[in-house]
Amino acid sequence: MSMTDETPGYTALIQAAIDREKDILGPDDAIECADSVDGLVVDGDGTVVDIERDGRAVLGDLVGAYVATAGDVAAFLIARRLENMCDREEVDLPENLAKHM
Amino acid sequence: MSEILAGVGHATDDDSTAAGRRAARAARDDLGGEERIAYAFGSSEYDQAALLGGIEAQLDCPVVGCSTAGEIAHAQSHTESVVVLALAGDGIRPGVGSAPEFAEFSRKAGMEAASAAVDDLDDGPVPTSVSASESGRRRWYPKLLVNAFGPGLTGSKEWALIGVQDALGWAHVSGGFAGDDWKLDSTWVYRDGEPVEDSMAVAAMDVDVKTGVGVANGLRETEHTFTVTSAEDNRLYELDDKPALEAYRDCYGDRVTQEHFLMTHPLGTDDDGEETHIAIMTDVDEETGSMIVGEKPLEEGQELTVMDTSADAVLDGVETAVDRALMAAGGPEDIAAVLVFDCNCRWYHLSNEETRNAELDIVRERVGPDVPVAGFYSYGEIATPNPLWNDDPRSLMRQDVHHQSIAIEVITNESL
Repeated sequence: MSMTDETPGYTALIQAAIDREKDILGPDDAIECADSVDGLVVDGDGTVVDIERDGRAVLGDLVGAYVATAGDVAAFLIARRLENMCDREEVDLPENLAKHM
Repeated sequence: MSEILAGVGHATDDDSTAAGRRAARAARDDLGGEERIAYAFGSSEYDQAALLGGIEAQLDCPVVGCSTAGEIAHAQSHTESVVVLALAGDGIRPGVGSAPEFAEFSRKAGMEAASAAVDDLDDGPVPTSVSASESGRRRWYPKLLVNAFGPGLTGSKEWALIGVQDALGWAHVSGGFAGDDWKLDSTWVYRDGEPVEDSMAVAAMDVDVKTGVGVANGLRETEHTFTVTSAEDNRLYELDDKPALEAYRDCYGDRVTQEHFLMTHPLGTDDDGEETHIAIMTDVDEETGSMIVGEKPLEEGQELTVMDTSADAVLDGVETAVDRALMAAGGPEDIAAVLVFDCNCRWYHLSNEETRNAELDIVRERVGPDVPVAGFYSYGEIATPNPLWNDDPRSLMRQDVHHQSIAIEVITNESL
């Protein structure tokens, strides 16, 4: 597993999940999903502007929103992207993501 | 009477060697005989060399298989695990072979791997099928049952199977192309216990029992059919005299370039009189409005139909595949083992573990509750069609590589 030197925060992981889904679902649907997550503020390009509650919970809800839209293959594909960014031993990931990493 | 014994082992240990050991030991313990060949299908999350080291430590036989995009064990869907199917008994005599340089010389790799597998039988000329008398008429069965495994992300799958055909003629082939848990980075083929990235591995089994292979996708045609008006090889430039992308956009809007859309709206290319073959669109080029469709050359005037990938259709495909395999195997009552090669893309249509297991429940219902069932989710399925399935002359057209399909191999305990 390749990792960056520093463990990324939840903001970076949430951004990576949105970016991955922009490829998969297309920008409109991916941003709409992100926008529907309570406590997650994104701009028109899908860039994370603010996280207003616990980052782990927001990441879990975001993955849940993508799973609701596209099936659990969405969680699997996001996990594949995120595992290149973080060590699952060091980051407390939400269950719907951790089970795929 | 010839007999085949089968045992399945499955493990989810984090440690690669321990997982390999545990799965192989369970398969061996389940076997009740001296193992003659083993199939291993393991998650790419494992250290592949350590995984195979663990498997080899427990089994005294050739091991073939590959890395996966998910594993199938005891007719259940899994990820990040390893499954081993071991076969024993006097009803099979296996040979294994492999060949490198798959990416650059796919046909040669297929031909050399198949040749090496049959040479390993050390028999000289080998019959690939036999004609058996049944109920006052004759019908043929595979005598040489061939399983092929190739890299999932490089080379030409179609040419590799033509290479197998170069060596073996109309031998019955099934298998799959290796996966890597959707990372689309590197896949491994297990070449007699060693993981390699650029080789094809073939197991050729001289069988004294009836076997059958069935394949289907189940996808149904939608009302959207296009005519190819400009194409070069497998790059599609125009549909209905418009840039291909524009024609597609006219029907479905801007989402046509999304990965999810491309997977859930594949194109049906040609049919075998019973089912439409699937080609997946990749590499959409916004600038030219063109797209790559499958591997085969497209012809002007050819019709391409957008396919319906609803879960119902996908599950119908499983029933068709199993029934075809059972019919090809002579409608057996005594089944020794079943191998399943299932396309990872079907996960887009079967949206969760429950529906994915519904696929395998259908297999289980058809073959019986105690039959060992193992396999993996692949990046392309291999299955030689059996013209017994229908009387449409198009069914004689050979098509060994399939997409968004499920291929089932049934090995019986009923003598030829």
